[in-house]
Amino acid sequence: MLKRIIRQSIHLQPILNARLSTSLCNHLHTLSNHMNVYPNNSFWPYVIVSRRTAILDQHIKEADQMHTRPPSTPHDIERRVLRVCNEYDKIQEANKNNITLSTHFMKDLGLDSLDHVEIIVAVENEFGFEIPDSDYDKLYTIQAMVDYLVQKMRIV
Amino acid sequence: MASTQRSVLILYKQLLHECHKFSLYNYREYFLRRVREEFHQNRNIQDASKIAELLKFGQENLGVIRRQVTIENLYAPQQKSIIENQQHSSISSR
Repeated sequence: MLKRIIRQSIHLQPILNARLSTSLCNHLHTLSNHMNVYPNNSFWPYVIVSRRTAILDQHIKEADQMHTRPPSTPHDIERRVLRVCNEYDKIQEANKNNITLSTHFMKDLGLDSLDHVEIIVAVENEFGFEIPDSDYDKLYTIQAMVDYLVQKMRIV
Repeated sequence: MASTQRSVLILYKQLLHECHKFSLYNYREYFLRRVREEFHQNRNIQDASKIAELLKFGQENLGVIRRQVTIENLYAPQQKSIIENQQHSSISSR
């Protein structure tokens, strides 16, 4: 990005009425975005100064808009995990929003390991980071998942 | 055996992750449904050679899905489908 700013801010002296051969003129459009090619084989290879400031302003505005999210509480994380679980269709059929923090996926809800993987994938998509395969064994209840997520997101 | 079960689950997870990367609603739903159906149908197979064969088939299809995701993202769709917008609004209105 810095290179782009430097390149766009270089202000060359305009070459007045330089005449070129037609073959070079045909290739001129590929050399630079900033050159204006006139049909009578003359060209003005300079960067317009006003374009530079407009682009720099835009960079500054974009940088300004980067803000961090407000820190999420464990209650927040619980709510999101419960929402993800409630949206899963097998849980919806079985239990219609009766899920609490202490539900065990296999014992209480009768899901098998494939469903367990699906739920964890849904949680990964919701929170935006990958959970390593070795940790799948720890996450059999909702409480365990919430604790794990709190730990992971506090460390990050 | 626990190791084959682990490798099956890892393959399942990888397939689901790649399927979620499709930006077009149709493709995403189709591939998710197909992956789920295949794994569910073959859930109870005990024969080791058959399991190995199915794992190989799964790995090949994982490659297929990855390539298709890349190609599809080159020609990304301009608009979301209506179903997605309805789902999105019902989810976000909770």
